[in-house]
Amino acid sequence: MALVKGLKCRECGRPYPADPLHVCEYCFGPLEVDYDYDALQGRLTRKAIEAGPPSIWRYKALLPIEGEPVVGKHCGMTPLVRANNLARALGMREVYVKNDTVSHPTFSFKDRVVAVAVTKAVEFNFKVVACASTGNLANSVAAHAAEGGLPSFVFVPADLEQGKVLGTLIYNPKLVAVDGNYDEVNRLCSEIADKYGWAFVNINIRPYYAEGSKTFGYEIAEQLGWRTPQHIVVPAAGGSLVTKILKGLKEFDRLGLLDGGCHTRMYVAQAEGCGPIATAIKENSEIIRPVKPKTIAKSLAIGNPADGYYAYKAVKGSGGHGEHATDEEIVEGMKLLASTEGIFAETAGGVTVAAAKRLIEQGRIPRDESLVLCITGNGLKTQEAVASSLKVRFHIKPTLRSFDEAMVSHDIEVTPR
Amino acid sequence: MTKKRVHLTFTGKLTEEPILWQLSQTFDLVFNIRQADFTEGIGWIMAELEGDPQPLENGIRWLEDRGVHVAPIEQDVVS
Repeated sequence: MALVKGLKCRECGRPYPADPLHVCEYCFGPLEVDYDYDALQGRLTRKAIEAGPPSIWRYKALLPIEGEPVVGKHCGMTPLVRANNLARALGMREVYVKNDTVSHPTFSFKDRVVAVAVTKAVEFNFKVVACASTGNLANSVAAHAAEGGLPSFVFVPADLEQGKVLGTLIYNPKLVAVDGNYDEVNRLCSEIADKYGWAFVNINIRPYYAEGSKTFGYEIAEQLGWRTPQHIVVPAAGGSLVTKILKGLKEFDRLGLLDGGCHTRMYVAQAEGCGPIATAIKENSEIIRPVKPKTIAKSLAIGNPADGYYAYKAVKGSGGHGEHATDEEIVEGMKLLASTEGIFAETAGGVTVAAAKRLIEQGRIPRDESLVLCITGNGLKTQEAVASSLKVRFHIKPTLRSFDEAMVSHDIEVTPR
Repeated sequence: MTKKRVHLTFTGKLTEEPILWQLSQTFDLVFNIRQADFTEGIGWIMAELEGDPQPLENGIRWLEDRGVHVAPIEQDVVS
């Protein structure tokens, strides 16, 4: 039931074949996958989806692959948690956490896009996969390439944190550390993608890769009982995720799979130290002003976001907004999510919680309406962000007396039975 | 001859200057604009630059030194 018509320019609408292309040769606009929705009408049903595997591949009819998935067979269908404790802390009635901290296999939502991209790369008969990354994408490309038996090249800035380097090296890719400032590394990777005939997942395979993010939206709707929430807060780096979640919800609506239609307001969450999309939304500027990132939320540190304009349009068109979070608020957001719901998110999760808190306090997200927070990566990857603010409070000798004294000295009441 | 597809962002006073013309004259480069958008104080251009490899590199560095943000047309590909 692969119903891809081809690719289409997002700017001028020119059609292209479903090949490994990513830019319109006429206007240089980005290309996007174009589906034959009329052919899917009535054929893709809730029942058919529910009978599918417990993974992103239950939505295969709306993903741009022709055959069966070759990697990432267990990716997706992460929990949608009814977060009552967090809701109380935020003063909200109905809050859900879409929890991709437990995404398989590399604990971030990037597994969704990479599973689709690497499967498509195999269908295109590429022999090497590659990416340029500062963390989550590197982990996921290296892991999926290993699973698919493909060699991989992963380009990272030379000053990348050791933890992220190790989390990639373990899968045995050819990891290339590049000296130079961010813009130089960025340009080099674009040139490498142009020169070598590899599947560079977020460059020449990008139209297919990006479609994997739609599954984040599909799952939210299905897990809510085939309805959409009133508000969704999404962390933004390049800006693709928020546009694809909304695209996914609209596709479900178009295919008649939703109760009550899709009236969801989308919100972008970014760090103050790198928030060009949220800034543009606040300033009503369709032109995104590039920034030099300076934030602890490294996975969102994209200063010149490729999909910034489209994220702006998605948010504005839905009636939503954008909000920033300071580094301090990010850490507090991570702690709040962990201490209320038992979910340890990476810094991007802290950004989402903190920005949502601001939006609620501003009255933009009404307290009696339903809210989904998109939590996209695991906190174990960015432990350094909270390391300095978490201390062992109790240090005792191995005696009962020492324990009792510690409790008394910290004013903690413990009642003997 | 080498070609490069670039996304250029201009801010402030740069939006009022004929920078691509100056680039073309100084480094003997041909430019071909495919898309652009300008408003007060900010704008961007997607263009193809063509010339000898070294002048092309020098020209891009010259743009950056002037304060133009130069990116590939894919913009940020490190993510």
